[in-house]
Amino acid sequence: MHILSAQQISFKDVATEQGLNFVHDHGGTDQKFYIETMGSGCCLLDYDNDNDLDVFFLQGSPLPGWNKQVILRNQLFRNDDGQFTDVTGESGLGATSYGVGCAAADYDNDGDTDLYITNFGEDILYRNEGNGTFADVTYISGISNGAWGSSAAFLDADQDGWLDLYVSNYVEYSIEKNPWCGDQRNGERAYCDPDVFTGIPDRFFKNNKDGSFSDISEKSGISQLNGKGLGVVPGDFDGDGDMDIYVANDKVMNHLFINDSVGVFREDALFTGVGFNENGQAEAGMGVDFGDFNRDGFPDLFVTNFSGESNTLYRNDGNGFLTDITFASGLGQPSLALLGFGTKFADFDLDGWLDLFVVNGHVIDNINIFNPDYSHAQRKQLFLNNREGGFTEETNQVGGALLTPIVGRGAAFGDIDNDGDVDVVISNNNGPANLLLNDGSPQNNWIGLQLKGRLYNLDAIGAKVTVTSGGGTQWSWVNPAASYLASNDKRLQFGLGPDERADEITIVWPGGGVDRIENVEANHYYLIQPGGEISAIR
Amino acid sequence: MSQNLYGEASDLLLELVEDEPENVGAWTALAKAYDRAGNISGSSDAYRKSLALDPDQVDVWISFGNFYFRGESYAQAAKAYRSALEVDPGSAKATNNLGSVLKQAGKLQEATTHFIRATQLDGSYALAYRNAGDAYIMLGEFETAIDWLGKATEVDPQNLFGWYWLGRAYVRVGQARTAVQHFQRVIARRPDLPQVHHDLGEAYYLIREYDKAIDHVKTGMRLSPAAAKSYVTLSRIYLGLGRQKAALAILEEGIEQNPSAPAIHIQMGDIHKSASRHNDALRAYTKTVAVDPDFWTGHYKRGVALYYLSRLDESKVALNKADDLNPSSSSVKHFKGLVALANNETDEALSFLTEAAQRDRENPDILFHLGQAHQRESQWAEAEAQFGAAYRLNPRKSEVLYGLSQVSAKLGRRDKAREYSRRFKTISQFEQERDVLMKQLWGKPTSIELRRDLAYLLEKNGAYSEAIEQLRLAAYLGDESAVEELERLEIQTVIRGK
Repeated sequence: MHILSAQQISFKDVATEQGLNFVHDHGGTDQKFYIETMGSGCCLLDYDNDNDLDVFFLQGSPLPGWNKQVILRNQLFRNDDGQFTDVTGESGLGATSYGVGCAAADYDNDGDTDLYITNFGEDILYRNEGNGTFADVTYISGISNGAWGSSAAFLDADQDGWLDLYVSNYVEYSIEKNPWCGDQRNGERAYCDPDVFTGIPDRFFKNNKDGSFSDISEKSGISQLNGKGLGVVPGDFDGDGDMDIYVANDKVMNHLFINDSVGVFREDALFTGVGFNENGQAEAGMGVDFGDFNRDGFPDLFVTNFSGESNTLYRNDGNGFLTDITFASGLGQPSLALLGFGTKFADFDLDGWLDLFVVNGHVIDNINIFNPDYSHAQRKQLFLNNREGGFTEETNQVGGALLTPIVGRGAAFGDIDNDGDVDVVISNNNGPANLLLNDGSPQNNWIGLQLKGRLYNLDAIGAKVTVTSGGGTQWSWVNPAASYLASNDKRLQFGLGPDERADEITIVWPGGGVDRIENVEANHYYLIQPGGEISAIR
Repeated sequence: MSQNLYGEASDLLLELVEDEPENVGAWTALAKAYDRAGNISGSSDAYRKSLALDPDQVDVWISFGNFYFRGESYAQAAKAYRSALEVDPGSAKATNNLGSVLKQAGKLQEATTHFIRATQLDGSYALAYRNAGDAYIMLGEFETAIDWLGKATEVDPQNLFGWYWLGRAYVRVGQARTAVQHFQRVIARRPDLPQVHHDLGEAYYLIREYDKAIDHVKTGMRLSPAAAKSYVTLSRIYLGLGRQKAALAILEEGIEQNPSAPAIHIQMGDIHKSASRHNDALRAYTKTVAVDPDFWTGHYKRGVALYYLSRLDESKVALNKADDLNPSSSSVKHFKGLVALANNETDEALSFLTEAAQRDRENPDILFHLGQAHQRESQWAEAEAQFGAAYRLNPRKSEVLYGLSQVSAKLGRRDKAREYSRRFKTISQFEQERDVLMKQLWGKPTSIELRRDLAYLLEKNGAYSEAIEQLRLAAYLGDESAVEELERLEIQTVIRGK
């Protein structure tokens, strides 16, 4: 039996201490506008290319009845050796739209990270100008999404070396027609259930390689279906070498768009086994991620859901099917009373096996009136991999900041302090953000990889990496889009346990090409480019 | 005669048997006096003495049997009736009473044989006809029950019990109009019987005469304010009419009248549960076990509510208690299995669900969950067998179709998996749309438009009886066009049935 290393992990909230002073304001009063409770998100990106992660937060916007004397705008915080500085003004990212989610990647292959933000209203595409500023290029890019956008993801669907853009949309909703929901017996108003609203199709934009995009939602097969999309993650789920797209929908079937390798998709979630839970019930999908938690080389899927439902783990059987193994894996019961949003597979204890982090928080701010067992603010959860096909919740054992109740929504994961382990930034609904540094003292070794394409797909999104060390083989894929309304560290972190080196690293580059690198020393970040060129960057 | 007088009579009779120890009649009279005075052992001894002196007394054997029957000593009662039949195999009364013992023991087929034999022995024996009818009701053979109860009323038209039971049987066969006539006949002579008003109200509800239904249940309630049944029934009627607030209010009234009636709390809990207000449901169910700690249904329902609230440890405790009180309940075993599944205790789940399925092979939910437990263990063939059994019982259960599609895929039967997936999707979409409309109706129970939409959706998806129910409610709410639709659909349903 594996001895879990929870005692080595410690999460400390250093947001205030390190200057990450973002406070989300949903812009509402007491009219329970549905939009208020769903956001917002956050992104980790190295916008200034100084090899550390900066943080971008989405902000709400004034709704009828709100009259505070502040301007609500999105905010960018630059990471300067662990201290954050608000650089919103100079960056040009301070939009005052009703911000929801974001996706960060280098869509124009110019070597810096651009940003797409979803809004309740028209979305915005920002091009990184390479000088610390961003330009709103939405109009000239040809992108237009006026629906309620939620999560978004950059991926190279047609394998042409240019990143395309998938935007999940939520529901049809207008502030003017805000239905009354709640308990009519006592007149207690509450946020509505998603059933009240009609789902809408997602959008898919093809990169035209000239800074513009074409809306191919219809042609690609994406817009043929109405969903209530909240979380999105692109990945090669059928193992055929191209990127498919999985969308977590709220209380309707989740979607799995299988790519035919040229960017035309066939939705097949039901047959594949990832549309519903094991009871054939559609769950309230929020956040989503994939990772190879059982180290069999196939990406498994994890979705966070509503309270009263469990979160759901789908094991990839490697034959085109995935199986809901939530309860058998130990993830079912602990999640029943909580409402999950942001989430990520990551090796928090660096033992070489992917763990799971879940950020929780109820959507109904007065839920306690309706159900005294539930609370609006909820604890986070850490599940450590037991290396036997399951997980054990270690939230209480790790304690600290994990136990502080929050109304968590977007959560972005990455190595913010560049110490090799994965930290977490959390955007809380109508409250201050958290920066949870994983600052325990694990004895385990690690290796960090930043992959960079040459000329095309510079972020190497979709690359498959295999790391073999004495402790076995692990697989991972480059993909910053996951969790909820968030974008994560595009670098890959592998825990090596006691192994002091990776014996072999294999990279299958998107669009073809395989590199093998041997004997790589642990506890460094490396930049790897096609051709097997490797250099330590930290 | 008061108990005291029976005591005095006993004393006198005791003196008599002391003077005349061979006086058979005196011993029998003493036995009866002791029985009335509550002296059980004295009565038993006196009967024995009388029968020892003259074992050929058929009536005394029958009285001795009745004495045991009243004391719920059914084996002894049966022995006494059999002794009577040894003396006189043609005794209709002994035959009938032996049938009652067998009925009490759940041996319904044997019981009916005895009741019928009693009527053959005495063609005017109304009670035996009624008992035969009652036993057939318990056997679910309502048409036959009606025949026997009809004969009871023929041989003894003055006996109101016969008409009352006949009315009840007609309700069970769906002929509520005829039932109303029979109940009315009883009410005409005995307007003071609350139970008959209650049942008449229920029958009126079934024939959609809602105002009369409500009136009669209320009359029953007025005649017997503490009777929980009337409050529960009235709340069900209100609920059926989409008047949830009234349904809850009448239960509150019932609780004021009779705070210790578990049935009212149960109904209150059931209403909350159906609206997914599991905490409110839990509160109501908890009251049932507070007033009656040995009420297994209360513990069971608490366990279910706690399960839905994800309070699995507490649910387990409540369900264990229910299981202790009623070890034969398949429902309790079912939910114990579900709790075990939620706790990832698959072995336990398999054991509980197997037991539940053995007790109730007709419940597709149990079979589905048993299949799911096998699925958790990657026992695909076993899972498929259980899902298949559930499917045969109800081919329109979406989760079963989903399970079948999943296991078919695991077993490499891709075409089958696709086919099940396709059917699952159709039903699942329908269920989702139906649930959304029903949820909206909880908020707007008087919305004719929503009811019409729901009725249309139900009809489109082949759920004709549910569609009829919704149209019926729309008509009740004043939608005149729903009446026409209702007639059309009812005729179509009859044609389809043929």
